Amino acid sequence: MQQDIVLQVENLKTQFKVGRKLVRAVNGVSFQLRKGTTLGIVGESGCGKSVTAHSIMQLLPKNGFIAEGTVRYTGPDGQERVLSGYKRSSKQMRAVRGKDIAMIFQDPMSSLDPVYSIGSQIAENLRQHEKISEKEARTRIIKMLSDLDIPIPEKRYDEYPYQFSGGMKQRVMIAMAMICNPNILIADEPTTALDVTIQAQILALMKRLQEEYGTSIILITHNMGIVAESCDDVAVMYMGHIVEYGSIDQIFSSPMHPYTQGLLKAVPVLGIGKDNKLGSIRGSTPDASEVFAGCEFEPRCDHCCEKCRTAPPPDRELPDGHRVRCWLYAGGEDDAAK
Amino acid sequence: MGKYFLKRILELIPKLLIITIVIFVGMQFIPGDPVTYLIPPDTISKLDPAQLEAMREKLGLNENVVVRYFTWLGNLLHGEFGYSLVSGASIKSMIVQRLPASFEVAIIALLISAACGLTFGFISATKQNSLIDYFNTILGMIGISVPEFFFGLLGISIFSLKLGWLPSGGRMMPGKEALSDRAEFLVLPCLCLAIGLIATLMRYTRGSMLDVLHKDYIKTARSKGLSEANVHIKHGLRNALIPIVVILVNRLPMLLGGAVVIESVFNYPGMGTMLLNAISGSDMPVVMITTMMIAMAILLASLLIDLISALLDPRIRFGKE
Amino acid sequence: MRQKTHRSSLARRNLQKLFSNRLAILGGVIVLALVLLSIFAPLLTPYDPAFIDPTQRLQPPSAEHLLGTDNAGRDLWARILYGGRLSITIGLVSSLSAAALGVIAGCISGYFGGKVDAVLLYISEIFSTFPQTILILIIVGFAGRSTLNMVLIFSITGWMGTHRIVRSRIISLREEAFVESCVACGIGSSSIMFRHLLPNTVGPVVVSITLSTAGYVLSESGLSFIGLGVPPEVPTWGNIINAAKSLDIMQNHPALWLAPGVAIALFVLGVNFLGDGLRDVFDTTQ
Repeated sequence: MQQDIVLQVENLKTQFKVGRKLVRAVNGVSFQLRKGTTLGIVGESGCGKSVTAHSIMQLLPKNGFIAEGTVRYTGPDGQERVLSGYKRSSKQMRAVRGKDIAMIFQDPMSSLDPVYSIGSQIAENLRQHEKISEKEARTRIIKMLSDLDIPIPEKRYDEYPYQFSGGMKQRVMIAMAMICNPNILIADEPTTALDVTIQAQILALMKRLQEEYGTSIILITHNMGIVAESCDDVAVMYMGHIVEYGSIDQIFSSPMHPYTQGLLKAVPVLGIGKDNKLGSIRGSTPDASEVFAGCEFEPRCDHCCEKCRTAPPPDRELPDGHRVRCWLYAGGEDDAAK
Repeated sequence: MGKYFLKRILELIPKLLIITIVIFVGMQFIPGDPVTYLIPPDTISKLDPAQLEAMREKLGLNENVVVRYFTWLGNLLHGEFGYSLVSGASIKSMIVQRLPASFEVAIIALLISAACGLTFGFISATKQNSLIDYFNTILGMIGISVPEFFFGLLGISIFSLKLGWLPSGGRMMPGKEALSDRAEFLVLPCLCLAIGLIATLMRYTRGSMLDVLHKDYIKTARSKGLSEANVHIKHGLRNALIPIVVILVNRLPMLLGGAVVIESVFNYPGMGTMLLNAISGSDMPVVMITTMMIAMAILLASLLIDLISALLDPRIRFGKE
Repeated sequence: MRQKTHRSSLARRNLQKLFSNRLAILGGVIVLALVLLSIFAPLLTPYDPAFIDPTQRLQPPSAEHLLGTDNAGRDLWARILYGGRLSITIGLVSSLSAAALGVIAGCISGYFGGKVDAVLLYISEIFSTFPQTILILIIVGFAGRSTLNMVLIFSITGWMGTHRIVRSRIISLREEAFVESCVACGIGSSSIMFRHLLPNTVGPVVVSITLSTAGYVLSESGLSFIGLGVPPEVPTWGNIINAAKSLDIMQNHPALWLAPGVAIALFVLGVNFLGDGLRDVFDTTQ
């Protein structure tokens, strides 16, 4: 693996057994996370972005499993570990969780255990991975809490989640995730449940932490605006596939996939002029258990052809790393790889 | 925590008083002259009618209901519970004699129920739909469907009459008062009393655990790299216990009611058999006072268990905002 | 008209869901079988359950007496069949009357709230402190053994559960917008309560009635066993076992207590299965 790639996901396929049905949530997703950067995974609800994140951490529910593909993590020591090969609650996987890769979740209100103080919950992570005393842990955590702009941290350490507001709880979650200085932070829609003003604060906070600690971040969101502000690379997901992947410049100045274009047209821009309508993508997201012979986006696409209905589109990569999964760009397949 | 404790005690006092009022009202229906059960019978036989009337004055029996109630209540607080119409013994001494026996059975049954019920429910939930789970579920269904006295009869006929391992009734051999000697007499009664509660607790624990295991903070705990055991016990069980404690409080009266039946099956000399004997002799004062003590005991036990639930859940302790 | 078809398709879906639950079906079958056995008792046995025959005391099971006889020479099979009638009826009637009280209390509590609610809750708490068995004991002490007294106590001490269920359902419903619109249209509160809020509580109340029937059958059996319940002339499953309190009978004539005990256990088990199935049906649809 290249020097600065911390996470490599190749052809990840994650499925769920729901009753007698098999739901294919992630259908062959590949991407890389470069050290010290933020990768945004963006898409509608149900596109599989959250499931991808949970697959990396092996935090899937009991009926979920990785059917195919690999997740490779490279630590600062240069050693590569195949996370997808570990058993869910094995020692190796648990050593990685919280220490090398940490995750924060969408709803801070329900993500903290109500019966333990927030300090003890953060300490739980720290003392799981490092042999330090309670006192030492407390000192370090109080410092981190104050780093994250939580006032009177010495007092707040012993307080319970119900005594914190939504935004503060999310900061506590970030403290809990960052306390072991992980290499990768996966943030699953961290601001969706928060007020808009708090959203901006949390995003700025995460940016600052990245600069200070060099953490690589995977940011999952459905909001293109957040992606524009916070990310270096972007993966656009639809129905379990990455339909477009590239740097933020590539995606925003020259979006290739019709879905990406549709998403960008739907973002309100200041100064758009009152006569211009906000774009919208016609149709609605199909059910996750539906199986398509061709491209999943075909029913809602304005640029499709016969091939789109009958055969799954190939992944086409441009020399500058910009990738797209669409029949529109698949002309001359054999020589495109060159 | 202290404030919560104080608040609950203050709430308890009016409830205790209401119980005394209810019992007092009930006692008004006892036929005959109240004097007969308010003073020792040997004293009564020594009094002539004039002295008897003076005694009735002293006890406030000629006053109105309210005064009579407070006089009676005052006597209660001084430890004067009255006397049995049948045996003439002081009711207090009867209760004191029988209380330890019943208390033992109830406490042991409660502890066994809590330990087994919680454990089996926990195992069932963490190994959902496994063989153990189905086994436990079936046992649970049987446990709540079979009357406890039937378990008692089964127990006696198998373990006592057929196998001879355990005695078929009673509390102890004469003279042998040590707990180790009495243990064999406690096995069957405590187990039979506990079975119903074990089954109930097991079902509720399983349900509560399954609820809790789907919560987001369980995922958070896993994301920190904690072992499954840690996740299940430290975060899962701890939260699941909170509603279980409420269930336990609600089942206390049933437990004591069941104790009456179990004591009857095993001829166990506790408060239950005392009550049954009193009924057959129409000894209502004994019945009423004993009932009062039992109701108060239930209130106190609920208080204790409420305190446990406050310890478990900080939101209760500090009053939810 | 459309409201009716919506309701009937919901009912059909509920029934479908119930029938797919095998345990619930098993429970229903068991209950039905025992009920039918009781109802058709005269057809299933030639004996009169109250007929005392001292010459036939404590006979073991034979061709003449299917399960043998009890200590007064009465045919056991007959007593169990006829006993089922009373046991099941007591369970059902107590359950229904306790539920009726509970529903009324719950409606008042839930709809009016405030002080009325607080008072009812307090009374509920006080009632809950006295064990049912002991209250029956007291009534028996004052008024003697009788089936009516027992059923009365069951009803008076059993309303609290239903009260809680109905109360919480109504509290959550009354916040809904449709109640406001009813009030705005000038519909009276009792009308709102009975015609709009109450039907929504039917589900959990039905479950509660089913499960508490089982509970009352168990309670009755225990009380009759210790001699506080139904007087022994009329058989119930519980007071048949009363004879088995002597060690001699326990050991040598097991049919006397095994048979009625199994009857009780089967019935209660069946009702519990059925009740659990009903609870699953009503839980997710609401």
